[in-house]
Amino acid sequence: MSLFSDKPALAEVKNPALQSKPLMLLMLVIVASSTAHLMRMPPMLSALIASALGIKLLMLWRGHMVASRIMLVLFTVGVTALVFVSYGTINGHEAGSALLVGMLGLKLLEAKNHRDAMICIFLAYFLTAVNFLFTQSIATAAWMLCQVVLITFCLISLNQALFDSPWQFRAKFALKTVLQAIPIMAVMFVLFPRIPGPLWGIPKPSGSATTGFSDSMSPGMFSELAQSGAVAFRVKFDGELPKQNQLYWRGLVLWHYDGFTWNKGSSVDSNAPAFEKQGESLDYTVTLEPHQKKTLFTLDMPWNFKNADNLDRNFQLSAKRAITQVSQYQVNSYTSYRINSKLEAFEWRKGLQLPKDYNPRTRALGKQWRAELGDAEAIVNKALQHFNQEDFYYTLRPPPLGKNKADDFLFNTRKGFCEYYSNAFVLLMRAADIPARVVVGYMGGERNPINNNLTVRQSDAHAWAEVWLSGKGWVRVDPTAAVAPSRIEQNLDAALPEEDRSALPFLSKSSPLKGLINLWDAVDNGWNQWVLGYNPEFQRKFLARFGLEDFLHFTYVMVGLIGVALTVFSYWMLRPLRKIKLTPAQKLFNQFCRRMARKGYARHDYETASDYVDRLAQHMPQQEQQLMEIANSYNRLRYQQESGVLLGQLSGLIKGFRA
Amino acid sequence: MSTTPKSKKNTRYQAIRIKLQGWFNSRIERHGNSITLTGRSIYVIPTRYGFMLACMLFGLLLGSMNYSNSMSFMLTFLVTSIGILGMHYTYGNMVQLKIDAGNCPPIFAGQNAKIPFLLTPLNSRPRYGLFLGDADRLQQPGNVEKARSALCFSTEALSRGRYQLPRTRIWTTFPFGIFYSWAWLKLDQSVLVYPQPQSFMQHLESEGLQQGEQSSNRKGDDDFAGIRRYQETDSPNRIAWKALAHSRELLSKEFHGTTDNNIWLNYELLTQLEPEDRLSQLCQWILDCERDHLPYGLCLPGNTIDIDLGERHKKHCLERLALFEVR
Repeated sequence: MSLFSDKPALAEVKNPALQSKPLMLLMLVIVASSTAHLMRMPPMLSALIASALGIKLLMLWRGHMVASRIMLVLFTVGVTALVFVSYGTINGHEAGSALLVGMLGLKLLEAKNHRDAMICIFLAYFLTAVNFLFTQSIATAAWMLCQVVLITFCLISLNQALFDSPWQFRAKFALKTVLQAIPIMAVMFVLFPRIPGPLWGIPKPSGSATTGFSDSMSPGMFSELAQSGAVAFRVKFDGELPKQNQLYWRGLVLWHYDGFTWNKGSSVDSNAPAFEKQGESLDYTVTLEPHQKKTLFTLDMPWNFKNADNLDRNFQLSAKRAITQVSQYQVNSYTSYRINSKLEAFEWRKGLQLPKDYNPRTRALGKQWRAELGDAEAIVNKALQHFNQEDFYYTLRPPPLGKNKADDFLFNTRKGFCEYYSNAFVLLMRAADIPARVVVGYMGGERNPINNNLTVRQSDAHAWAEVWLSGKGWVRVDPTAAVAPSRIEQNLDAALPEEDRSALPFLSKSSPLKGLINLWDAVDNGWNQWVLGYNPEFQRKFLARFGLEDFLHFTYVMVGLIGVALTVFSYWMLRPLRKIKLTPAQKLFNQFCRRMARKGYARHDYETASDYVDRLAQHMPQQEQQLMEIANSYNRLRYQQESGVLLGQLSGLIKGFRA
Repeated sequence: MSTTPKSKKNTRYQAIRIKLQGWFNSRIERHGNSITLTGRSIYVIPTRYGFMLACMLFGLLLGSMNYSNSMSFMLTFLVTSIGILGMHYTYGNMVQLKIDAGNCPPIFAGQNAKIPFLLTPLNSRPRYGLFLGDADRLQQPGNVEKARSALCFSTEALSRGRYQLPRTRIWTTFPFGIFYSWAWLKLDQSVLVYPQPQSFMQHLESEGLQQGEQSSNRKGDDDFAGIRRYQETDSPNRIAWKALAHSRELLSKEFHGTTDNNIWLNYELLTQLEPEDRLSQLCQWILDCERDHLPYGLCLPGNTIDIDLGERHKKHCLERLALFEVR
C-alpha cells in the first residue's frame, strides 16, 4: 500500500492515459498512413483491419477505451490467418506490410495510454516508408510528405506540454519542422554512404501489379489493346536521336504458338552469337519503369551493355532480377548488322513449329506461295504486298475472331493491329518453310523537346516478325508497316482512324496541354534519373565529380554539412530579443544624456527623466528652468501625446541648452 | 520469497544513489538568486521514445538498403532530420532562459510550500512545457510565451524551521517527447515554516498565560510617560515619528499601563507539553489573540517580545517560534 494514497502512481504520471482528443487524432493519422496499403490489400483483409478502427471509434463513443483480451486475440489470429491465406506466406514485402498494417490496427485497438500512442505514431512513420516499396512516383512522394507532416503534428499533439495549445500552433510547428528537416534530409540523401543491396532477401515481383508489357501474345483473345499512356521507359541518347522508323525496341522473342497464344517456348542457355557490325552504333541509357519482368528493351542488336545481366541467343537482353523499381541500363547497339552464325537444328525446328489443328487456309496459302515463288525473300515480299494491296485495315478495335484466328483475320475480318498482322505473317512464313518468329516490344517513342529524351509509352507497344534468310540471318519484317506505314513513320496517332483516336486523348499532338505534358514528363524523368536512380554507383560517380572518392569522404562531408546547417539553425533559434525601437523623443533625450555624460553627469539606470534633471539642476542651478522644461516636454511626449510641435520644441530646447 | 533479495538490492542501490546525489549536489555551485541557462548547464538525453524511434529508423534504413529504395531512404532521412531538429528544439526550449528565485511567504508546518520560480526568456523564442522537480511529479506544464511568468515548485509537507529548497531541476520534453532536457537549479530559496497551530488547552486564561501585573512600573499602553531610544523589539506604532523628523534618530514613546489586561504567552509555563507541542500551542494562541485584537507578548527562554498587536508583531513572534532551538 502506498503511504500517500492521493499521490498518483509513478506509471500513471510517466505514462498517462490516452485522452479522447489525441486518440481521435491518432486514428486520423492511422487512416492516412494505411489507406494506400488497405487499397492494395485483398478486400477481406482490408475490411477486417478497417473494422478495428470502427470498433475503436465505437468504444470511444461508448466511453470505454480498452478492448477486451479475447477481442485482441481474435483480431490477431484473424489478421495473421487472412494474410497467410491471401499471400501464401507472411514474409515478403506484400504480406509483411499487410501484417504490419494489421498490427497497427491491433495496437490502436488496445491503445490506452501515452506509450501505445507513441508506438502507433512510430508504426505510422514506418508504414509511410513501406508504401514506397510499391510505388515511388512524384505524386506518392508528395502524399507521403503530407503524411509525415500529419504524423509529426500528431506526435507534437501527444506531448503533454502541448495538450491545451491551439491546433493551429501545433500544425504550424509540424509544418515548420518538416520544412526545416528537408535540407538536412537532402544532404543525408546525397552523402549517406550507400551500399549495394540486397542485405537479406531479394524483393519478389508482385503478382498483382499490372503493366502494359506481357511476356506472351494472344492475338484476338482480348480484342482491345491496353490503351494506356503510362510511360514504359525513357531513353537518353548520346548524340542524335535515330529516325522514327528505326526505333524498334526489342523486348521478347516468341517462338511457340499453340493456336491461341505466342510464348517464348523452351529457353536455351547460350550466349548471343557474333554478328557483323555495319554502320554507326548508337549509345543510349534507358530508364525503365518497373514492369515486374526481367526483360530489358534494346534497339536491335546490343553490342555492349552495362547494368544488365545477360544477352541470350535471341539477342534479347535481360536483367538479373525482375524489375520492381525504376532501373537504368546502358546499351551500345547496332541497327545495321548481319548475323553470320548458322541456324541450329533445334532452331529450325522451333522456327517452323505450327499447331496442326488450326488455320488450314493460312497454311495452304503459305504452301501455295512456296510452290509458286520458291525464293524466301520473294515470299516475304509477296506477303507484305498482300497486306498492302488487299483491303486490310489498321484499327485498335478489331472485330472478334473465331477458332482459327489467322484464317479468320486473313480471309474474313481483315481488321486488326500489330499483333494480328505479325501473327498471320509468321504463320504464313512458317507454312512456307521459312523460319520465323514473333518479336514483341515497343515501336517509336516521343521526343520531349525539353530534355531531348525519348519517352516510350505503353501505347507504343508493338509486335513484329523476324525471318531467317540464308546469308542474311535474322531479318526484321514489320507487316504492320505494309498496312499502316504512318504507324511506323510517325506514331500511333497518325495511323489510327478518327473514331479510335478519341479514345486515346494523350496521343493527340495538337492537344493544348501538350506543353504541360512535356514539362511533366521532363520533371518525371528528372525524378527518375536523380532521385530514384540514385544508387551506389550513381552516388560514387556523382560525388567523384566533387572530389569525394570514398565512403569516408562522403561521411565527413555529410557530418560537416549537417553540423553547419544545425549551427545556423541553433544560431537562428538563439537569436536575441528584437531591439526595442526608440521613439524620436527618446532619441533626442538620449542624445541630451550623452552630452551631459561627457560633462561628467551620466544618467543612472534607475533614474527617471525627472530625477535626472533634478540632479543636474543641483549642479547647474542657473539652468534649472531650462532643465525642467526639457524634462516636462519629454515626459509629455512620452506619456501623453506625440506631437510634431512638441517634438520641435524639445529639439530646440536640447540644441539650445548650454551648460 | 523472491522479494527479499530484490528489496535488499534496492536498499543497497538506494544507498549508492544517495551518495551519488550528495556528490552531485556538492559539485553544483549555488546560483544565488538567479541563473541563466546556458549550454554548460543544460543536459539533453533521448527518452525511451527517442530510443524507440531510433530503433524504428535503423530498421527503416536496413529495409531501404535491402530494397535499394531511394524514396524510403529519403523518408528515413527525413524522419531522422525531424528527430535531430527535435533535439535542438528541446535544447532551445531551455537555453537563454533566466530563472529568478521568487519569494515564498511563510507557511505553517504540515502544509506544502509553493515556491515560485520566475522564468524570463532572454530571446524571442517562446517556451513551452517546462516542469520543475522530478519527472514523477504530476504538474501543470509551464509556458513562457513572451514576458516573464512564474512556475511554482510545490514541496512535500514541511516541518518547523527554515526550509532550504534543495537542488531541483527544471526539465522539458518539448516538442516531440523524444528528448529530455534538464538543468539543475540550486537557488538561494528558503521558506520559513511556523509551528503547526494546535490547541491543547481550552482558554487563554490557562497556565501558559500570565496576566499583566497591575503595577505602575509595568510598561503599558495607556498613559504617555516619555521617550526613550528605540529598541529593536519596539512596535512601529510606538516610534516617535515627529521626534524622528527633528533629530533623525529613532525614538520610542513609552506608556504606563493602568488597566492592564495584556497577555503574556510564556513557553516556560507550559510544563505539561512536549517542546514542539508547546510551540504549536503558542502559535495557536498568537493567532487567536490577533483574531480577537488582544495585545500579547511572547516569552521564550532567553528571548522576550514586548506586548503589542498587529501583523508585524504577529510575524515577529511566529518567526521566533519557527526558529526556536532549531537544530
